[in-house]
Amino acid sequence: MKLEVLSEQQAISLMVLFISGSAVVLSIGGQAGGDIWLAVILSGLLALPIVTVYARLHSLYPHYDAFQIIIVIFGNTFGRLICLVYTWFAFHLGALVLRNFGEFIITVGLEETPQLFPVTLFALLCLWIVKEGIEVLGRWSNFFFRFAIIIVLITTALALPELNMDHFRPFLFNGIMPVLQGTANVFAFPFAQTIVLWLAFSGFQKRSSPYRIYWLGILMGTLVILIITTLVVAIIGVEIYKHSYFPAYIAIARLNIADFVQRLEIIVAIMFIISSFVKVSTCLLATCKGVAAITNFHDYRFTVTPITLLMISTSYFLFDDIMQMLFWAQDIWPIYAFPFQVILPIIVLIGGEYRAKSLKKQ
Amino acid sequence: MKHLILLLIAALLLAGCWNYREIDNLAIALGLAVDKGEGDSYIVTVEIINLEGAGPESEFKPTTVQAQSDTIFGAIRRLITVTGKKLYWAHAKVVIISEEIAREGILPILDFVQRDAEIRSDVWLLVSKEETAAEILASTPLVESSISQQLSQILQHHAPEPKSIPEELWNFMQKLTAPGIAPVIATVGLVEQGEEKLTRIKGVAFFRRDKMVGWLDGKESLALSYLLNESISGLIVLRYEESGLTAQITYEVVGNKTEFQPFIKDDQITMGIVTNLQVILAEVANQKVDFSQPSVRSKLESDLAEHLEELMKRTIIKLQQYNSDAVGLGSVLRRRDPEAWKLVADDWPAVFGSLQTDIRVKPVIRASALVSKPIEMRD
Repeated sequence: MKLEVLSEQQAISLMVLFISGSAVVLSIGGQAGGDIWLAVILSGLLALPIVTVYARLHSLYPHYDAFQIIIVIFGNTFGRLICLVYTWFAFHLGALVLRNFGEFIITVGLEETPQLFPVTLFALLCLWIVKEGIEVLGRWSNFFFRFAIIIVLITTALALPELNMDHFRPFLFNGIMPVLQGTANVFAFPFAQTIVLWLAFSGFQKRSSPYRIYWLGILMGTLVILIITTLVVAIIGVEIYKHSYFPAYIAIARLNIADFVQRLEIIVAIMFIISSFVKVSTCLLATCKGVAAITNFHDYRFTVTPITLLMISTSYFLFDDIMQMLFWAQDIWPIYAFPFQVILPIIVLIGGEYRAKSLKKQ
Repeated sequence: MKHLILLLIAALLLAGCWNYREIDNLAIALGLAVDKGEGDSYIVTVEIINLEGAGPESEFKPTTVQAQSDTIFGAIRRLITVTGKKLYWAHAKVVIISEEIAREGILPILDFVQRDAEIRSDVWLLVSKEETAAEILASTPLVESSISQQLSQILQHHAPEPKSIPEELWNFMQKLTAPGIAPVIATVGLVEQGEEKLTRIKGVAFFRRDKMVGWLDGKESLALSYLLNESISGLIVLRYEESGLTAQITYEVVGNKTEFQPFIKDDQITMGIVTNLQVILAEVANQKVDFSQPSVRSKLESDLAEHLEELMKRTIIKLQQYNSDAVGLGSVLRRRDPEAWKLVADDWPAVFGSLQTDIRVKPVIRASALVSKPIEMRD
């Protein structure tokens, strides 16, 4: 199979958009209260060693993609089992993000439209881009990354008069514990979800370093999340941040420059659509590659359509309502995702180091 | 063939929108007034604008409609039976609440306003000083075409004459949920001018949690504005008396900054409050007052300081009587001395009630408009 490669810049854009994903509109890390900025920075730092694991695996086995690496390391049976677990993880995450998107649309805009309708249209576009392959997704991300950065910069500039730094004072009012809880939350969603990127990447252009890609991606992703959460909390305060489904939407709705520049919420919606498109597509790509690897097919493309349809229906029956969705995203996800996002990668790395050494000896 | 299929799909997708709303099937709601009905019910009055005529001659006419129900949303939906059109709330400007409801607690009302995705969180809140809130919507708009827009204009441009503290919904909710600060809402009343009744916004209603507990008049709200660091201007008129010379002096405040510093001594919290004001002499009624003299200026400054210190003291004492910390001294304490705050947080309203304050006002006369010296009259 021809390896599909990304340039360094494309991979980083993809990663930043993936991290921004649904995290820019959902309320994450609310436990940390006014110290949320600290929680974001800490979880970004915490994510660095985890992505180093992925980068190390890439550089150990530069000619394989993630699922192939797993099968090479653990052999046909056990390796396939791990692939299956990861395929489920990517599939489930994709369905969750799709659901976030659907809830967002019907909550803020089209209340009477059945959720399935916008979700299906959205997922069909994801289907298309995944069929075209990761190179197209990379180019798309690289192009829209600029939009995302411009959006973040413009909203920051416009929000300056509304910021109230008192929301962050006093520093560490309830001690360090809530900050750690918030850190765990933000680490699990979105930073450690980058495991799905590792599954979706199949290779990079020559002379590009996977370490640089992952580290820069995490750093810029942290920066975006940091700017957005800090802005939002500085505008609406901690309590409202915790109590709303889509705090960024509420915060940006408040911006009003002399009655002339106002009703900017749509900016948040655009940012969300761009980034969650990347996130869903990446999850979809990882799932399809997983399925292809398990069933020993060389090309994943023929699986894309059925898996997309399956993902749409899964997203539909995952939750009954938005309350359940938020509960899952905030309370269950960090626990559920921990084995997938931390324990398994470490096991894979240990196996990979061992296997690489024994291969060298031969 | 492929293109044809694509076209067909596009035709399917672009043909319409599920949630489409035609403008002539909407009644645009501008203002909401809530009164207490019989029993547990609410009377909801809504000012709507209606499109009349067609084409370039079409005109927007404001009118009010009323309905009664046990919940706000219920009453609003019931309005469809009157208007025949669904109300569209994204342009709502004001929510007026009657005193009776304000005293009982306004969270039940705000829940709907806050929860509904269509109403924007920057609507203005007002408490009616008249018998009902509906009366306000029935008064005559003088400059704007509807009373809600008129009220919104007045609130937006209150800075030069800050006799009240306008609060938008989000700000009210923020103060309601934040520790150590109580919310206020501007009050609106009616004044008669000839045969017409006009609205006047003056003073604020202050709250403890979501229940209104008392009123502040225009002067007291000015003092509270300075304490809250609102960016306002404001005129203060004082009588100047010095060696037989008297004059009415109008000071215009052009800059204000209040700083707080809590002191704790023997478990007794004292809140130090320093208000720095920059003022200009806007009107000096007696030309014999020679404000180019430093001694005269310092006398003018100390007069102003004395007056404002007394006014602020009075305002805080009034708030203390009702245990309503509208100044947010609790939140200052929480920021400045979190450990001390933790001890009193649970009992803050009572602690606030007996809190010692030390208020200083430091005005600086920055300028005297275009006039450097008094005009000398000659025969």
